[in-house]
Amino acid sequence: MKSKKLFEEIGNINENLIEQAAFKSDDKTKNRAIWYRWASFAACFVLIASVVAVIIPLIESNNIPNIFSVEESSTNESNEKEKGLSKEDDENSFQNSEKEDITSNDNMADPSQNSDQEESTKENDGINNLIFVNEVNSISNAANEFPPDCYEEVWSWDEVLSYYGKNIKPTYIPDNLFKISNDTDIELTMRGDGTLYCDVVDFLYREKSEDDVFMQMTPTISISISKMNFFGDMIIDFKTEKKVSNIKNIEVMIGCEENNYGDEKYDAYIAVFNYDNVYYRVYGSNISLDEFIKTISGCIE
Amino acid sequence: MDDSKIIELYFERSEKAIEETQAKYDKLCVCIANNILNNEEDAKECCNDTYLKVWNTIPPLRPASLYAYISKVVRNTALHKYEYYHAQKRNNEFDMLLSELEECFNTSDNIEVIIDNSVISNAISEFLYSIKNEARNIFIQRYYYSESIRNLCNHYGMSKSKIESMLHRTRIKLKEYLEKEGISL
Repeated sequence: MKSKKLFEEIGNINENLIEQAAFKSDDKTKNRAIWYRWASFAACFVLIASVVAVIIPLIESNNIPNIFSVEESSTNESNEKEKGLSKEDDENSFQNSEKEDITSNDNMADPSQNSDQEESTKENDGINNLIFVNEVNSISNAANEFPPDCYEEVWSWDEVLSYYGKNIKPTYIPDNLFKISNDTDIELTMRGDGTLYCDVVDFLYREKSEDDVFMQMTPTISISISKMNFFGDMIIDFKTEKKVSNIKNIEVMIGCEENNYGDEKYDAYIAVFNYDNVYYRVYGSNISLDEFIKTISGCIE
Repeated sequence: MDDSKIIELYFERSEKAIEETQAKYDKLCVCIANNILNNEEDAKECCNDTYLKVWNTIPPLRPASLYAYISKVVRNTALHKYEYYHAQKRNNEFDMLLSELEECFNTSDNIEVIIDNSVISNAISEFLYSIKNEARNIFIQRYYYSESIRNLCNHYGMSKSKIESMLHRTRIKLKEYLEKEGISL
């Protein structure tokens, strides 16, 4: 009852505070979202047409490369690989799958088995890989208890780089997105005894807008990076059996979730992987799958 | 249409006032109501109730900010509906939000001190002005607009752990502030 009372009292805070904190939208943003949607349709059409143009001659010559299998792969070859990759299917969260040694080659489809794929990879700057997009039913929060005495500490970018031991900035971000996050002073959460509790570093890229951002419909990519992993903070419920993608020899779990915002719908992609003992979580909304894959690829350099 | 013109329409008792309000603020209303009720149909019904309440209260009321006024009305309406529906339709996300707020007071304290509501909300406002912009906006988005942690992560480009860590620290600071001001809920 007390928390409900406090919630009610927060409802009476100063009106300026309410307006300042608002995520505002306007017609310009809406129009841009509609425009973007049509552009995405056009881009998808061109992509599908290109894939069909390449695949049909290959089918005719009985030489089907195992590349770019979006949603479900229909080839027997892929299904055989999926069986080998499905040992984590009983797990419900990306978090759990991250605990596996996902860089192990034992369960991984070998991208070099087909010479056509190698050629294709070169031609497409390394983005043509085995891609599965798992349909996400829901993403829910898991409880996350913080130490009562935790506090924030600001680290310089050099300190962060020294901690991670490598450059953790993505090398590819879609042209229409711009960096929003601050990478000069990084706030990390420390325990009361001065040890690091949460080492997550976030990068945010978003389409520019003169107005305040209407977050759901604006093309956005956010990348979270951690050596300690993400504390099991998200539970992903898949509609179907999970399948693991392979990008640049790294196993990547990719999910797609259809979201509603009012009467509008938008897709969001989420990917989790471990590269070089660092955990990555990439989230992209209102962007094409192609750009999303390129962004993941840009984290694996 | 400009808010002041919409308010004038209410004073003229023109039904166009509701049309204009709906055109401008329906998305905001649906969003806040849905964050609390987690049901689109209930949220739309809640919005219709909100427009009726706004129609019945303006005039005599002349809100300085129509945006803030409407958001408050829809929030209160949704909260009452949530209490009504609570037994049948639980919203785990909103329950979680309320449980988070328990950190802002001492749960072992059984003494209920009756304090004028405006004193509490003024103290909360003063506290919010005293903290960093980002922490303030995230706190208001979470506990005023009832925005989900996921949406906050998406908007601010922060991981869930970071958003929760920031909210946790703000709640503890608010608790200390309220205690210092001698306010007990």
